[in-house]
Amino acid sequence: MIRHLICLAGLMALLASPVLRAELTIEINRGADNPTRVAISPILLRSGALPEDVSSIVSDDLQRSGLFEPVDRANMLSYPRTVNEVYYRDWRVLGVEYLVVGDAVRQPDGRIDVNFTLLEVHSERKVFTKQVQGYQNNIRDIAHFVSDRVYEAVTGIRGAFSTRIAYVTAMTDSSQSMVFRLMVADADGARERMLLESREPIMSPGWSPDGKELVYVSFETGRPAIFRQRLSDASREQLTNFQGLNGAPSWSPDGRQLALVLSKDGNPEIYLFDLASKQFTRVTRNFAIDTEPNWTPDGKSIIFTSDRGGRPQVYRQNLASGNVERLTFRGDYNARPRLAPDGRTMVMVHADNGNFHIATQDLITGDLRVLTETFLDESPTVAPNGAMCLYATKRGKSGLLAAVSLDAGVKYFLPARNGDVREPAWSPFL
Amino acid sequence: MTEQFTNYSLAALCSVALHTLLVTLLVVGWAPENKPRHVVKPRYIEATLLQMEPKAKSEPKPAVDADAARRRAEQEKKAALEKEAARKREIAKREQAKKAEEQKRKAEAERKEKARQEQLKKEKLQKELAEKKRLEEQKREAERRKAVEQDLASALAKEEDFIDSVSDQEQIGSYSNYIQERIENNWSRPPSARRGMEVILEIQLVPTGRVAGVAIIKSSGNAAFDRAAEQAVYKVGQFDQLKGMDPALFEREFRRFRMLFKPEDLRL
Repeated sequence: MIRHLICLAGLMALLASPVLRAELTIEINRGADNPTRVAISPILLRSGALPEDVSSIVSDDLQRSGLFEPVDRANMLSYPRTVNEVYYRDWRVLGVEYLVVGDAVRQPDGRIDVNFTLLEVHSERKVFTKQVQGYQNNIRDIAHFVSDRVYEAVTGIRGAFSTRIAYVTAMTDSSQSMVFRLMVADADGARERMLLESREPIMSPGWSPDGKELVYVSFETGRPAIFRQRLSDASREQLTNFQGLNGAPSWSPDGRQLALVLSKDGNPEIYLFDLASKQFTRVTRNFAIDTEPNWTPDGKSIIFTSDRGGRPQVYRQNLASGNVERLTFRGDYNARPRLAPDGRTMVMVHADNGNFHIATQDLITGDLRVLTETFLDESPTVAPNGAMCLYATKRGKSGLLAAVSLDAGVKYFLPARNGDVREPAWSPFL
Repeated sequence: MTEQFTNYSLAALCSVALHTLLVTLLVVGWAPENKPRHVVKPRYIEATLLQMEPKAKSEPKPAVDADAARRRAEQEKKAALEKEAARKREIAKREQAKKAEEQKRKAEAERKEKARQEQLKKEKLQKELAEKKRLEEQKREAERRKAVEQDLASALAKEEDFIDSVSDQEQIGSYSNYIQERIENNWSRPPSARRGMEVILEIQLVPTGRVAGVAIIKSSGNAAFDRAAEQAVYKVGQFDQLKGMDPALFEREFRRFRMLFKPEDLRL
């Protein structure tokens, strides 16, 4: 009897329960991809002032990436330093999606600790709280660290704000003679410092994969020679001293070799130089000019410019098999290739009808996209996170550096300097 | 009233006349229909053509002498007899011809009559057939209409349900499109988003269309991608057009529903 009752009850429950049906699912396949609205509440010391405004540096970093739209401090309704001080409504009315609050504390030994928290405004959730330490003289490092963490949390891509760039400047001094300088600066162009000054040209700077050294070509000996130089103590070493061309050094991803161009055997060819054994291995064997080598991220192939087809185009040679394949077919000039870290997106100088621009080419689909509209663009170099590309261009008579995101969504110029700025090289992650 | 009557009187008269004619025709045409069908065999008349004796042959020859005269007389007598006989023959022949003629006329009349009757019969048959057809058609039409009406009547409840569900589906579709559009305009994919990534969210709304809750049902594995989807929903915050929705429909479909974020317009 009880069993019957249970059965009956079960049956009733079954009947009463809503009929099983597919729940409504709305599919979203497209997006608007607008910049994310973010607010960096001022990060200040409890007592005293920091030599630099951390929050402004973070705001500028994020803004320059093109993926964020920071809220102007003047529009903020409050300046919370901790999560407890946050009134989410204040930020919702500003349309803010993410809020950074932070607090700086100076320790007795002069160290500065910064605690910062990323908050989701709508869901009123904390994404993370992190701490970074620094000193009075490297507040910018602290700020770039904050930028990197915020950027990574929101975009899913590692931030490259703490990286550096190397470039060459050329200007005339008071005696009207040329002065060339090899410079290193933060990725935003700040904290520029000189590594080398010469009356003779300096060319083709490139980074070691650990970011501690540079290779470059200097004419200081009267003919082009390749040098390597440490950033920490500025110590340097000459690597090549051949007749003719010694140029375009490119450090291998494993740090053991350089790919470079020598014309010692007649015409410019690509060689590998083993840094330990100082041995050269010839890579290309062609009557045409082969130059501007660059490693694929896996270190197995070299991409380079060659005019073996009549005009400069980009080729790829597998180092193990020696197989060569031509990569570029569109336009009458494609040169100076550099690969993004995905190994798939190639940036290069592309010319069609004499207009030199920076273009990307997808090595899988072959899609070519011109990124820039500036004049006489050259020497593209890709950020280690593959988001931005830095290149040299001309404005008026002088050269300067400009940046463009690889999706061409954001473009900006780096602060202009006196004289020409040329041949930028973006460092790896440091 | 009288004016109306007079106005219609001509038409009525015509109608009566026509009906009378029709009835007469029907009555006239009805009889042979019921009579046993006797077939009137046409009588064929064998008319022999008679060769008329040339007149010149019976012309008496003039007698020259007595004998001749006598012969002539005899001949004349004979001729007269012959003439008489010829006349008689002639009369008989004429009578015969007349008789034949009469017979022929009679046959002709009979034939005509028969044809007329045949014609009438045919017409009547046709008319009857048409009438029969018309009636049948009417019957069929009525039956069809009845069937349709029956179908309609029997399917009405079902139909109503169906119509309701169709309009429900339409409403769900249009509200879904509206929600989809609002979300798409507010979805900023992170640069780490790739084709093939999918995140499913469960959205909770209140009847004003305000977002009351967002939960990740199935993560894409990329936290930034998941967050961007959530942000898109939060950024919309309020689906204004849902305010006017039928409360039952809202409870059934939109109080709690899912969203699948699956980018298809990315390069990578």
